[in-house]
Amino acid sequence: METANYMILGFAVIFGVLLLHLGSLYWRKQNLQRDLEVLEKTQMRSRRTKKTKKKPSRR
Amino acid sequence: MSSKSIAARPRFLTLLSTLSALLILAATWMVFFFAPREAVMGEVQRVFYFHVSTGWVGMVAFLSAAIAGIIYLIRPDKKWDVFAVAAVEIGLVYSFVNIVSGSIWARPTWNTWWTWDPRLVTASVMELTFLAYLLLRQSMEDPERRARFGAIYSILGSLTVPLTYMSIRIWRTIHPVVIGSGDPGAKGDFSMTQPMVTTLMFSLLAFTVFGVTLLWHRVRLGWLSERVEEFRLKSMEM
Repeated sequence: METANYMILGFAVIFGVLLLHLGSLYWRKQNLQRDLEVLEKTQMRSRRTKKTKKKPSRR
Repeated sequence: MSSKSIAARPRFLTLLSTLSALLILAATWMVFFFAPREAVMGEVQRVFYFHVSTGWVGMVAFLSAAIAGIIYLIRPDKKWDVFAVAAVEIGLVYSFVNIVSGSIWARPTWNTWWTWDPRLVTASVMELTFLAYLLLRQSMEDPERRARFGAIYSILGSLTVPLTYMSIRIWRTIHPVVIGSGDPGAKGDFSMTQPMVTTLMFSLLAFTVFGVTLLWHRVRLGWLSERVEEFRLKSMEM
C-alpha cells in the first residue's frame, strides 16, 4: 500500500505541534521576564519617590 | 522564590534539555532507518511509534496532575497547583498529537479519518475534560478557590485516563492493542518484529524524557507567572 504521503503528514503534525508548543513556552517566558523587569523598575521608582516625599515632612 | 532564582536555569535542566533533543533525534533516526517497513500498511505505520509514545506521555501527565491535586488537598501549597497546571498543559499537547496522528494513520488503514470507536471517543473525552479544566480555572478569580477546584477537578478528570487505556480491552473495537491481546475485529493490527519493539521502547523512553523536560520548563514558567502576579498586586496596593 502506498501510504508515504500520510506518513509525511503524520510527522509534520507531530513535530509541528511540538515545535509550536516549544515556541509558545519560549515566547511566554520572554514576555513574563519583560513584565517582571518593568514591574521591578516601577516598584523601585515608586519607593524612591516615597522616600523623597517623606524627607521634607521630617524637617 | 526570587525572580533571580527563577531566571537562572539549573545546570541539570540544561543537561536534560540537551539529552531530550538527542533522544528525540535518535528515536526519529530509528523510526526511519532501523525499524523495517510494515508489509501491509506501508510507510504510514512509522507514525505508530510516536503515536503510542505521545499517548503514553499524555496519560502520565494527566495522572501526575491528579496526584499533585491529591497532595494539594492534603497539604495546600501553591507549588502543587502550579505543577498540576503544567502537567495538564503537557498532557493536552501530547494527547492532541496522539489523537491527530492516530486519525492520519486511520485514513489509509481504516479508510476513514474518524469513527465512533470506544478508544477514539474516550481519548477525545479525556482531552476535552482537561481542556475544560484550563478554561474553568480561568473563570475563577480567587487563587485559593481556583487551586482547590483544580485539585478536585483533576482527580475526577483523571478517571478518564484508565477508561481510555482500558477501552480497547473492555469493549468491541477496531483499534489495535499494543500490549496484550486485542479484539479479533481490530483493523491495522500487526505482529511486531524485534527491531520494531526496540524502536517503540526507545521512542517511549525519548518522549518520556522530553515530557519531563517540558514539564520542568512549564513549572518554571508557572513560577515566573506567579511572581509577576505578586508584583502586579503589590504595585496596585502601592
